[in-house]
Amino acid sequence: MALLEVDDLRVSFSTPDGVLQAVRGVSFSVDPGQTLGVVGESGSGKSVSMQAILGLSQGARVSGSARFEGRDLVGMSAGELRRVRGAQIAMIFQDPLSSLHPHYRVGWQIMEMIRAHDKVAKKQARRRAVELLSLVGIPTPEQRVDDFPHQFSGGMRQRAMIAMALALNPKLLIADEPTTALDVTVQAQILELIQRLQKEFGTAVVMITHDLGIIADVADKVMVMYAGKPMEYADKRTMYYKAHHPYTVGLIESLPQQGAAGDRLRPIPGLPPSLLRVPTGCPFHPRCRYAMDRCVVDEPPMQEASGGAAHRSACWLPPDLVGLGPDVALRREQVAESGRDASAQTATVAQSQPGRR
Amino acid sequence: MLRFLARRITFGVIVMWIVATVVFVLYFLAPNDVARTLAGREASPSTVEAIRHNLGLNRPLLTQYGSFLWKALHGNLGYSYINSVSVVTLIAQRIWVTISLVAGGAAIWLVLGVGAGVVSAIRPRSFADRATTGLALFFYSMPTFLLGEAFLLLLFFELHLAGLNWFPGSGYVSLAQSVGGWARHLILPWLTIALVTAATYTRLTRTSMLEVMGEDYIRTARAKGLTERRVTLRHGLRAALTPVVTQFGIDVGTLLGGAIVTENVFGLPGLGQLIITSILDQDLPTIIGLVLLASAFVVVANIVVDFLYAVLDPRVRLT
Repeated sequence: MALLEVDDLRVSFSTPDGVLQAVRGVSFSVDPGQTLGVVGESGSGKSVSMQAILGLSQGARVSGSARFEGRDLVGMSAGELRRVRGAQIAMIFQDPLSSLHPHYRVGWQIMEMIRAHDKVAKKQARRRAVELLSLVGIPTPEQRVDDFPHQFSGGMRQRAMIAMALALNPKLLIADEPTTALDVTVQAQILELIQRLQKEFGTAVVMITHDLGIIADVADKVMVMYAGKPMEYADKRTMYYKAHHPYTVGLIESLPQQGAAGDRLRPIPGLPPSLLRVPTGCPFHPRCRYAMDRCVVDEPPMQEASGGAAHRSACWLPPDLVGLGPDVALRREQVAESGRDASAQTATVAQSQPGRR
Repeated sequence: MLRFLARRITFGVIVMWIVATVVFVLYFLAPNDVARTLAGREASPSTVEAIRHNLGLNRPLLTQYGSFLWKALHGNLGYSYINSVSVVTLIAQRIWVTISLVAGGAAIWLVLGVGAGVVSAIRPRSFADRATTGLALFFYSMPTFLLGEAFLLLLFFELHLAGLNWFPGSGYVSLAQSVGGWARHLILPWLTIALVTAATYTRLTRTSMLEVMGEDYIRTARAKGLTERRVTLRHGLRAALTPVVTQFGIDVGTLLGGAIVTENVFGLPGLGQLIITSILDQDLPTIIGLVLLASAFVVVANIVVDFLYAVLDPRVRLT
């Protein structure tokens, strides 16, 4: 049975400018001990969807379901959800400096976490805090336990966050861009640490990132998100070698290739849409080079693609058109061409560039 | 730490010295007969002569200045000829009234102001928020004397007419005489000074809390599974208190120098009333003493605030 099973999760916020639909129907599942990578640009809804599941997005309207060990987190009372948070599902965040409270000692913050869920004596909690700090590789933890966060380096702070997150041996760890704010060398150490502890404790991990390189390192399955929706869902190998969705293909192609010096990077043109006014049809169509007529009108559902087991993609291109490379691109181009009506094409251009009218 | 203290005290002494010098210049070098003024309007010529001799006004200017500073440094603030008592004694008789007033008032306005600020910050734009904001602005914009008189009218006069003597209209009973009497005589002044001041704290706390509650470490606190109450108070309020502490130091320091309006409305014989009478009587030694004392309070309050900063926020180094 899946540890976490999310079905048609929707999250919206009312803002003075209208309703902002941050997440518009996300479904995925995480198995025990497995790592799910969630990739997307900023504003794609990847962080919001995870925070909404835990009731951490203030003022959000959340619908759908998120079954954790069979219990739906979305409908849960605040008190019940609080007992799940930290103890069963822990979270670490992007910026370890601002994520730790500047006025309290690191050890105190870990002890607070333990004592919020377990009735243990202060002394015992403190001993556990020292153990945890040593587990995540903080040197002389007996002394550093009494340090304040500002006395730690960036990497050490993230280690401390991880120590805190793992204090109660949670079944699921949600890591929200845990290495974005760190140096590259420290990044690798932190990822390695997460993986080592994951193996040791059998923790499942949801790794939220915009960095496909990190996904390649750690993930078992990958979900690509765009404009609050999943675009593609597959295991890691399929995603990298047999991607179906043009957005995924674009993401992979915009990565700098090793040994390909002198080649130009190929960025995806345009910007993600505003979530206050999501485009009709496929949300990616204004930026997609294979956009066809129906993409403007009909929103493609997640459907099976032939890259591998459980490979699903939200794109109208034929399900067997998977992979990278010039010949696949050519075939995609041909399909797209035949899906475009000359008169409708001008309409598409006009619609996607309203400023020209 | 010691260096910090030494530096701040030195700085404070310099400030006090400047204040003392300005006071000296204003009152001793003004183009009038200082001895005459000091003695008060109805003093006899022999008293004036005696004062002139006592003050050494016939000595050179710098000598006078030096001796003024020297005496002040040794806690001798001069002699009030009008009250026939030394200024230090005069202050000592009244300072506890002001301290009682300010301490009690401060406790009330801190609890009310910060409490209301937290309530309105938890749910911004809610009814509770708008109500506290409205109330805060109401009391903030109300002159102290008006609120004081309103309390006297409603809670003293009207109740008195109804045969209920709950709140005395004026006077002061010392803490040593009777604890109950002390509190009963001070409750209306406390409320007056607290309500007028609390608004500042409500606004300050609200703004600061709203900012802090959006911080990442608050999200972490929630993600840890702490109760919302603990998140708000232990994590939110703790971090939001810094600007409140600054304001508190300034307010207490200023008011200790004399809560003039409140003391006069409620007939409390404190420093504020002494300021008024000494000005009306042109009792210059007393005025000088009070000015020096008031500036000392402000200087000390600032040093204490800086200390509290370091206690509240470990990132602050006292250097």
